[in-house]
Amino acid sequence: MQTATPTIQSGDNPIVSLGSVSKWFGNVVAVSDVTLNIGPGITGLLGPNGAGKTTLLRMICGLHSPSEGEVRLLGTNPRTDHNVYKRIGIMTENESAYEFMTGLEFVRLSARLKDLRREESHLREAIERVDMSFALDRKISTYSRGMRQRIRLAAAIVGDPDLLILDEPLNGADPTQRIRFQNILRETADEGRSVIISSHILEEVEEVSDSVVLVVNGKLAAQGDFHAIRAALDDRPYHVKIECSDSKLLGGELAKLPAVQSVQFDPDGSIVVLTSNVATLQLDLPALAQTLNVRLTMFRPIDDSLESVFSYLVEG
Amino acid sequence: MSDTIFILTLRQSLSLKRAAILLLLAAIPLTIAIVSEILNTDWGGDEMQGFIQALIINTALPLVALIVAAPVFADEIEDRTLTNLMLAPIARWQIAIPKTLAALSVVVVPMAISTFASVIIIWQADIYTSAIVGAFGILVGALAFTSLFAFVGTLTTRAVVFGIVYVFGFEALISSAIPGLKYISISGMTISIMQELGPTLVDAPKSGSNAPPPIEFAIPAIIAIIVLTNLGTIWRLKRMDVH
Repeated sequence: MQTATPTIQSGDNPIVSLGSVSKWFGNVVAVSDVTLNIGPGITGLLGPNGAGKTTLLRMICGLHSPSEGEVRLLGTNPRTDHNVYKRIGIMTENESAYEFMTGLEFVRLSARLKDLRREESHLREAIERVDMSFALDRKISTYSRGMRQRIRLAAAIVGDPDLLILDEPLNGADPTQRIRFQNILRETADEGRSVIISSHILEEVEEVSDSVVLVVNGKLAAQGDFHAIRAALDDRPYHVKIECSDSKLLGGELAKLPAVQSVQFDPDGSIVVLTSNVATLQLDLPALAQTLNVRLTMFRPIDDSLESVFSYLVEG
Repeated sequence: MSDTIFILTLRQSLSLKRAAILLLLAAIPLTIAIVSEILNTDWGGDEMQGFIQALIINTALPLVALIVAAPVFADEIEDRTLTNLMLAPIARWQIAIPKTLAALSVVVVPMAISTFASVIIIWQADIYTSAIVGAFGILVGALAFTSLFAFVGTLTTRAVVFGIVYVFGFEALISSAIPGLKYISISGMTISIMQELGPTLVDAPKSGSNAPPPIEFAIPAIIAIIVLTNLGTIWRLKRMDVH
């Protein structure tokens, strides 16, 4: 399903434009007939693992040629017009850094490949932004996964590109690094530049994106303003698991609530409730439990995975 | 930017392990020449020519070229570092040519020095002419082998396996055993060119299964191999999906 949310308004000059793009590897269809425009700002490319996000991003970057359809990046075909890379910083999903180099050498390589014969201070500035100054003279082979991610981000942002394309950049990042990454993305957007960031974690994208592109099974499932899509998600039915001191009593009363569609009792003594409005249930449940003098020990949505969200969006 | 890729490839090619193998192979002819000199071995003309042909042109040169050139692209593809180069604002030939030239440099320098020095130590006539011809032959052969193995590295990450089969199977065995196949052997073409330039250095048979191709065939053929394999590398870089 395409949600009824507004399509990203990209104006006359979208940053990325895909026209009926498909990609298959042998008999496996990775991306199927995707048409979309991505405009300025921060755009989240969201989808479960194996949805086709990376293939889509690789086609956008020009690393993969589409089996069918057309890709335009900043108005040109990246497979033939390599000059477009002067304006773009790209961080791929793989940990594709030269192990024998130091962090500084790797960022310097990135700058030189873009023909940026910049002063050393600019390289150090990019490294400082990702908080890697302490290890800039260490070999990349000694870096942890999170450090590699950060030095690759430094290599992507050196030269202040107009567009940053980041494939799962928060993989391996600890909470502090995550916040720093998100700040960099916001700063980039505030400076009038654009970011496309992919993730399979809804919250990661939610925190930084103006708009999202949802991909499921290689197809465009939804596209538009994040908050409108999020509102649509809030209205979907959820399964919620509840553990309490008296399941029978609480379950019986829960079934009478308007927000509850069904109640099941699990063999382990917990209650599984299907609710059409999890927000209302969250408000009503404590009051009900207090009235019945039942002690609540757990309240947990059990199908809040991105996959289930996408299933809902696609099948809904 | 081309110099950046050239230097990057030099650094990759001269990793400690690879450099050790490379120097060991390149040192074999020189070591034999030095030991012979110490032992006052009396080299006959045939033995010297056999030394140049069998040991240097047919074996050491293609092996060194294989070790250096095959991983130039194959390792970048396997390690997924090629994306760093492919996402740079440069034409694909500006990636292919500096990388191949860097590999060529790494092959030629030790091999040419080793050959040049070996000839000076053991040769008996036209020493300097023969040494220069030997070093030039190494350059021509190395360019062809390097271009071939670099190209194969863009087709498969198992380029080294292909290269070993090619060097020991085709260049060393099949091309010598089956008449006519020396025409498409890079070693055969290299020997033909060296023979034309310095007959005292190489005196290959004019006929039979071991005869190298005539010079009028060898020169255009080796140029065609160099040009076509480099064009092939550029074509692959333009067409490939980089993972």
